[in-house]
Order: sequence, then structure tokens, then C-alpha cells
Amino acid sequence: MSSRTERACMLCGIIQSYRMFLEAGCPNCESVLHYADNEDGQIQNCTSPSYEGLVALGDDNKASWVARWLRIESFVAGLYAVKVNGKLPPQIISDLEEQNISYRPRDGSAQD
Amino acid sequence: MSDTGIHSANESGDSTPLNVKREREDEGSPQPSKSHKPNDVSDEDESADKELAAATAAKVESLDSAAPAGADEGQQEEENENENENENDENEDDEDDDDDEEDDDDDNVGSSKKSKRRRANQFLDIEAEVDDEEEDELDEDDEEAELLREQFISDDPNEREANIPGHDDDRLHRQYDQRRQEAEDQDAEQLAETLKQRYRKTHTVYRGDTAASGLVSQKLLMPSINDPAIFAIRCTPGREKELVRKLYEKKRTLARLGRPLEVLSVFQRDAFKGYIYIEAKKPEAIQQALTGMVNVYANQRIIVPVSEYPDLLKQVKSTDVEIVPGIYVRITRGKYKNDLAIVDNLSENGLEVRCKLVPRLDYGKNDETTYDGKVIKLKIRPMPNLFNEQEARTYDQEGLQTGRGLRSYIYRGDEYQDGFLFKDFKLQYIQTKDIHPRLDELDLFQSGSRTGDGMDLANVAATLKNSKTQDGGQSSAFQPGDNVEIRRGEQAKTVGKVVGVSLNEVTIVVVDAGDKQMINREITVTSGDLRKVFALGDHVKVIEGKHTDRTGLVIRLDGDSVVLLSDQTREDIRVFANYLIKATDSSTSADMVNSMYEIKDLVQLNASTFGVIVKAETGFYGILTSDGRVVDVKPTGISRKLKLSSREQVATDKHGLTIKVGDSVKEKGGDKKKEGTILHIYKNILFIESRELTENLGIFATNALNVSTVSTKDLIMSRNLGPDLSRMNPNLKLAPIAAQATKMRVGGRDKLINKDVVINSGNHKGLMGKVIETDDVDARIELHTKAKKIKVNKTKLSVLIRGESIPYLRFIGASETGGRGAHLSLGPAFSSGGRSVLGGATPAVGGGAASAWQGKTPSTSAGATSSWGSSGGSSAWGSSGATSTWGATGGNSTWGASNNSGAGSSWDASRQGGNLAWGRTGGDSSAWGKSGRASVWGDGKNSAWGRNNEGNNSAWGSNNKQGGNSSWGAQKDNSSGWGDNNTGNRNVWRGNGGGSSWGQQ
Repeated sequence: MSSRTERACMLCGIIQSYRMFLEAGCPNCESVLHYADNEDGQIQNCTSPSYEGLVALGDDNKASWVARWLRIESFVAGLYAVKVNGKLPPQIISDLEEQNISYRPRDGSAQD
Repeated sequence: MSDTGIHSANESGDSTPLNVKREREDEGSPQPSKSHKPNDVSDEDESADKELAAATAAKVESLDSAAPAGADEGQQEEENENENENENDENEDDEDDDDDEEDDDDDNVGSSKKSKRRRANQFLDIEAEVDDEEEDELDEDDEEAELLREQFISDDPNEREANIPGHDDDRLHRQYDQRRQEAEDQDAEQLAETLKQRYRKTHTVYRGDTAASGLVSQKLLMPSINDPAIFAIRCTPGREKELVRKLYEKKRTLARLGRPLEVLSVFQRDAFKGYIYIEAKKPEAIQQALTGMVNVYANQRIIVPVSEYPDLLKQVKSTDVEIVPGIYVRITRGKYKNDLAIVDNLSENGLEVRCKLVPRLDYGKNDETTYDGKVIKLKIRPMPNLFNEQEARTYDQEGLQTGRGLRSYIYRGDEYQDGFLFKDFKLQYIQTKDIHPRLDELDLFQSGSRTGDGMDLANVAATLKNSKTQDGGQSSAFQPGDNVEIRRGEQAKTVGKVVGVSLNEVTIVVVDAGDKQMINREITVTSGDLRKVFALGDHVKVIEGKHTDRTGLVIRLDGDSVVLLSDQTREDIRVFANYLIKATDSSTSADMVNSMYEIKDLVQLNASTFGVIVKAETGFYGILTSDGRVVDVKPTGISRKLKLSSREQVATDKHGLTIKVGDSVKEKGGDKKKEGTILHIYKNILFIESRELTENLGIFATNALNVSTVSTKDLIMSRNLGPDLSRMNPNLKLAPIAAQATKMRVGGRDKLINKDVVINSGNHKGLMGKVIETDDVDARIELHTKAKKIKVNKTKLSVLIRGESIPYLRFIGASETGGRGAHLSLGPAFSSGGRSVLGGATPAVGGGAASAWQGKTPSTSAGATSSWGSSGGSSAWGSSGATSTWGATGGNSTWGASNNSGAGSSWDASRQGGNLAWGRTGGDSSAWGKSGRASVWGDGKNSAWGRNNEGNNSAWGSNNKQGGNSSWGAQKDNSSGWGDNNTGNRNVWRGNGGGSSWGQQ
């Protein structure tokens, strides 16, 4: 659990400060989650201050097994969390499904 | 332009109804449109133009825009705009946007308001549409605008009708303007694009898992050897995250500089403290990455085996506790830090947890108010207590509101229900592991529940289960034979009997189940799923929890809990069934925690009566008195507790042996023997605790003179069960004299005790001391010189008697054989000599000559003992088959040895006192004659004894005759002992006994 002001995106797992999410949004999920300048709780709902396991990922992520395992190999370079506590709200999940995006919870509840 | 005009005309012509409609609208429109009605009427033919004008006017009006300076241009623009509108709405939107941005940009650039407005005038409509600032100026410009409109409307037809050169000029101007406009539009678009690029680059398509690609199972992602290696690198614990961040920055920086690190990823897990993990294809990359980094030890690295990769990145650790409503947690921050809470609910995204707590409130009672009205909150945390509406109303009325429902309040923004606080806590401020709820905490929760049915045992069970899985703690004791019921799962309600227990699993034989086929089958169940089953009336004992050690009768069964009537307090107690075991005895340590006396205490009742507490009930004690009765006495009836030191608690048993507390004794009185350990000794009465008795806790009282010692506490160390076989080893030549001596202990004290002794050998050689304790082998000696007690083998001691030191062996020997002086000297002497000579022969220093031989025998005995010992004399030699005996001990060698070494002495000794002996034994001449036989003496020299035999009766005679020389000489060329004997001994034997004794024989 991290007590910093940083939060992890529940969809991609990237770790950024709340401010970053508010100003620039999530570098991976902005097109679907629209964090930037979103005042009505999107960041609170879709990012989690509680995460564990810090992964630094560079640009050459395609070659990384770690990235593949965590399913972050197609995302931008950055700091990611291994485990993000919390789940996206059901509303958001169904929105994502409509856009053909599969949401895989990062809190350890995903099974397969 | 003309294009536009024509187009408009056509359009309007084609769609008359629309125009009509619009016209009507215009009719109803306010003044400005009216103002140019006359014109419309005059040029009725040109309905298109009229329409256009009207529309334009309407538009201008509706937009509240200021009139442009150049009306013509403005109108042109207007048309343009209109067309655009008609043709492509979307475009317009975009353009609006762009314009927005352009404006913003302009603002940013900082062009003066004035110039901006001027430009705005040129592009009337656009400007008007977007610029709100102009609103204020509307009123001023209104009239002007009307004028202008009239003007351009009147102009308009002229323009259309004829191409006047002057108009051409205008047109060119307009075209130029338009181009400029276009160019500027272009710029704006570009600008917008760049802005988009700059600020909305995040709007890239989501690249994560989609429904199509995202179905890759985690299993397919399992690592293979082709994947990059992961290195675990040791670092300072606590710096892991920092290091990961630093390495990330380093990689990014170097990547920008064009020489990227060949490290693929760096990560850290909280569970693996003191390590960071680097994924890289080449080990060199690690070195490169870590140069210049502190707190990390690049040389201490481990290559993680591929098979362990997934474990490194597991999302759920086995130690994680899943937060579900009902479990116990602890709060880690704030006012309720370290307080126990029950999870009531979870927020939808699982980041907030609604907890039920026992509030800590003082309702501002203890707040102090400074003179200027400031309230100083009390720093001390109030004790946890249920919310009290009364108090809240009394002390802090304004903070209190009634909430939804009965017994629900909102106080100072927090919600209270049934006295409990319900509050949302952030997930990270909640501790889920290692909760260990204490009973007093649980009691607080229990006290508030209205049902009053005791604590929520399901919760307790859930937490217990968690704690078990965490600590690997033992399950509550299921023992073979316990009746159990399966609580959940498919086989719920199945009743069985425990037959075996392993760590976490219990094997049961099904006794009763819904499915008849299951009966008598063995199944294995996790212990958490089992519940013990008791029947009403069972006598049980509590083995865990607050009521530990209570016993009682089961009076009610209630699911997982059992209500029992305590033997001690006569109260009902409710206990979790798994905390119980069946009990046969009634626990005696009742609620006497505060009392002065304990079970098994020795207490004085009055001057003559004393006893041991064997029972403690509420209000009275049961005391076993010295005469064996049990009396019930109130605590006030006990005058005092007897505290005796171990020195005081000493007695002697019927054999006169000292007995102390802790010794085991046997009572041989009455019909049966009772055996036990001494608990107390007082005034020659022993209180003995027996394991076999059941009444009075197994304690009985008896007189010290009725008991005999079985073993003493001091003896325990050397107490052997049965004979010490190692000491009977015939191969050992060292004589275990002490072993013989042990028997002396029986029937009396060790004489050595309290004697002054000198130590003959060993580390303490030469030191003097006093014997304070003995056992079979050793004596404990208090040294005179050092204040120290040492343990010494008794045989290493010499006893000082009247200043004379007597070796231990003699000391005990003397004491044993007592008055038989004659043998006194002989015995030992013989024995020692014999020992040396004959080797094994020694130990039996029986007594007396005959006995001497007998005694000797046993040692020779190893083979021939019995014969010698038992039969004695002739028969012995005759019967026992001298062969074996002497053969065994190795006749030759023995005798040879004796001959060689000190034959003289031994035989001298024997001879001296031995005449008789030999004489006597000799009486059995035949024996010797017979026995001699080939083997023994034959070995010695066939001639001698063999001839003896041959010559029969006169064994020694024959010896002599045939030349004892030869015989004994044969053994050892005449020269040797017997040779001597013989040679000189013809005389001797002949002389001494020759003719007479042996001859006689």
C-alpha cells in the first residue's frame, strides 16, 4: 500500500500523481477513461491510491516478459503497479465493454 | 461572389414555400426588418434578393452583432457564411472551434483590444458570433447598424444588376480579403492541429487489451527460457522503491541521450524486502545500470529461475486477507488507531471500508474553553464506549441529529447505530493481518448487540480461521474419538467420529449423513470446517478462551456454541463448541483467583489439625486432614498456610531412610499398596500424591513409618531400572565391586554418609571432604577446602576413621564381613591377589577358605563358576568339566601367567593358609585326579595330570612319581614356579603333604 499522493490507474496500472491525472490524464487510457480535467470523480473512481509492486518500464517494453505478464507491454514507458487495489465501477466496465475493451482487474481477483 | 448569388437565387426559387415561410417569420420580426420592408415591396420581383436581405437582417439582429464599418464587405462575408452554413454544418462547428482557439491565441499574443476589434469588424459575422465582449457595445452601435443595413441593402441590388467598374474594385478587395481570410483560417487550423498535438496527444487509441486480443490466458504468458533473465539484486531494505524510480529516470535520461540502458524493466515487491529485480537480456546491462547507484549491491545478485518468475509478480499473496464484511480489522491511523473494527461493508471500488467501531467519545465534556472562547480539545483519547444518546444530548446538543431509523444518530458528522460508530476508512488505513482480537475488545462489541446472545461466533470463527492460516497455528484440539459435525460444504450436517488428526486435516468416520452410502466411510475434512458435537448432559472442559479450564455440564446446544453450567460458579457460560473437550474430572481451580489458598496447599486448621486443600469451591475448601478425612472448611476456618522449607520437611521411612518432598514412596499397609510422590511432610505425616487414585486429587495421608522408599529425588539421576548389564560384561576385567556394594544400601543408610573422606584419584585427588549424599555408584562430597560439592565415584575414596585412611572397598568390606577376623585379612588379600593372578577370578571374595574358593569361582566362573561356587570341593572339579573352566580361562596362560609373574606370592599365600585349603579340597583327591584330565592339566602337561589320571588316585602322588618335574616342568620347564615347586617340591609336596596329604589322597 502506498501512502503517497500517487495513484495507479485501475485499467492500465500506471502510477502518476493525482495532479498528473487531472492535468494530462492517463497516457494509456485517456481515450477511454477521460481523466484530464474531469472533475466529477473520474480519477477517484478509476484510479487507486492503494497499490503494490513498483515496475519501471522503458520504451523497449515489447521484449519484456514482465510487461507481457502484467499486460502492459503495449503501454507507454512509465512506472506501473503490479497490484492495484480496487475495481472500476460497473458503469465504467460496461462502457469499456461497449468499446470492446476487456477490463482485467489488477487487484488479484482476475482468474484464468 | 456571383456564384453565390446565383446559387442563392436558384435555391430560393426552387424552394418557394420555405421562402414564404421565412418571409412570414420576418413579418413578425422586430423593427429592423420592418425598416426595410418598403424596399422589399418595391422590388417584388427579386424575391430572392429580398429574401436574402431579410434573412441577413434577421441574422444580424438575432446575433446582436455590431454593424460593420464596411457594409458591403460585411454583407459579402455574410453570404459566404450563410452558404457555408447551408452546405456543411459540421464544418462550421469546426471553424467555430478554430476561431475560438484563434481568439485565444490572439489574446495570448497580446494584441491590443483596439486592433483586435478592428479586425473583428472586417470579419463581421465570425467575430460577432463568438465575441461576447461586444455585447456591451450593442446599444451604442445599434442605430449605426441599422443605418448601415439600410445602406447595404439598397446597395445590394445595384451590385447584382450591373457590373460597374467601381464595383469591380470592391470585388477585388473582397477577393483579397477572402484570400486573407482563407489563409488565416488555414493558419488557425494548423494552429489548432499543433495545439491538439501538444495537449491532446493522450487521445491516442487505447492500446491495451481489447475483447479480441485480451483473452490471452495468463497461462499462455508463462515465461520460457527465451525470455529475458530476471536478476534479484540485493539492496538496502526500504530503498527498493526509490531505486526503481531512480533506475527508471536513469533509463529515460540515457534513452534521450541516445545510449539507452539495455534493461527491460526494473521492479520491486513489498513482499521481497531488500531486493530489486531487473529484467535484462545480458548481465552486463545490470552492471551498467547500477554503476553510480547507492544502496544497491550490484555484486550480490541472483538469477531468478524461470519457473519462479510468475511468483515474483503474483498479484495476490497467500498472506493477503480478503476484506469481506464481518472480518475483524484494525485501524492504523487517527483517533481509532489500533482499535478493533468489524468490516461492515465495502465501497463499490473496494477502496473504502465501512467499519463498525466502538466509539471513543467524551461529548466535549472534558474540553476546556479559553477565555477568548477557543475550545481546547482534550488530547487524551477517550475510552471506548458505546454511543450514549443521553450524554450527547446533555453535553453537546448541537452536534446531535437523529439519523435514519431507530437508535440511529448522527453526531458530529459520524453515524452511530445501536451505539456503534459506522465510519468509512480508506483501505490503506486498515490493517487486515495479525489482528489478534482480544477478548475485552470483543466483549465491547458484544455488549452492544441487542440480541444479547453473546458474540457473533461466526465472526470469531472466520477470524480464527484466518489467524490459523496465517500463523499456521494449531487447530483447536480435535482428538480421536470426538464427535464432530461438518459445518459447511457439500457434506454439511454429516456427523462423524474423529479417527485421526493431522496438521490441518481431520479424518473422520461418518456416523450419520444424509446419504446413507457415506456411513462408515472415512473422509478427511479441514479442521476449520468441523464443529464438535456434544450431547446435553455431557461433562466438558473448556480448553481455550476466556473460560479456559472451567468445567461443566452441557445444558443447551446452540449451533456452534454450547451453553454449559459451570461446576465452579454455577453459572451458565456460552462457549464455542470447538473450545470444549469432554472431561471426566471436575476442575478444581475454581474462581479462587483472589484467594489466599490454592489447591494442594498445606494448611493449618487448628493447633492439632492440618491438611491439604484438595477441593476449592466457591465459599469453602475441601481439606484432607492428617487422619485421612476430608472436611469442608470456610476460608475463615483456615488459620494459616503452612510454608515449610525443604529442610523442615524431612522424615524417615520404616527402614530409617531419609525421605523428602518429591521422593516416591510406597505405602505397605492395609489391603493394598499405594504408591506416590510425597507432596508434603509435616509432623511425621506424609501427604502423598498418587497417580492411581482418583479421589481427593489422588492425595492421601499416611504416617511416615508406613512407607518405604521407592526412589528418592536425589537418586533419580543414577536410578537404573533393573540390573546394569554393562557391568556384568564378563569381558571386562575390572571388577565392579561397587555393583556388589549397592546391595548394601538396601536395609540401611549408606555408611559413607557424613564420613570424612579423602579422594584417591581424579581431578580432586588428595582433597578431603565430607560425604553428604550417595547413590549406587557415586558419592557427593562437600570439600573442606573449597566450598564446593563434587560427585566422585565411591571407589576412588578413602574413608578417614580416627585419622586413618581406609580405602572404600575395605571400609565396606570390613563393615560387611564383620567379626570374622581371621578371614578379614585373608579375604581381601586373597581377592586382590587372586584378581591379579587369575584375572577374572577375583570378585567373589566370598569368605573363608572354602568360600574363598567359592568366591573365586564366580570369576573363573564366567565359565565354571557354578561348579566351583555351588558344588564346591571335589564334585565341582569333577563334575563341572574342568575342561571348560580351565580351558576357558586358558589354563596355561592363567597358570602360566601366575607362574611367570607372581606365582610365588599367590601360591605362597595359598600355601601358607592354604595347606588346609588344599588339604581340604584335596580330600577330594579323586576330584583332582578325575578332573585334571587331558585338557586342563593335559594342556599343562599331559604327562602330569594325564598321568595322574592314568595313575589314577594318587594324582599328586603320581605327579611325584612320574616326576612332577615332567608335568609341571612340561608346563614351564622345570625351572618355573611349579618347576621350582616340583624340583624342590618333591620335597615340598612330598615333604609337606606329599606323603601325607596328597599321598593319602
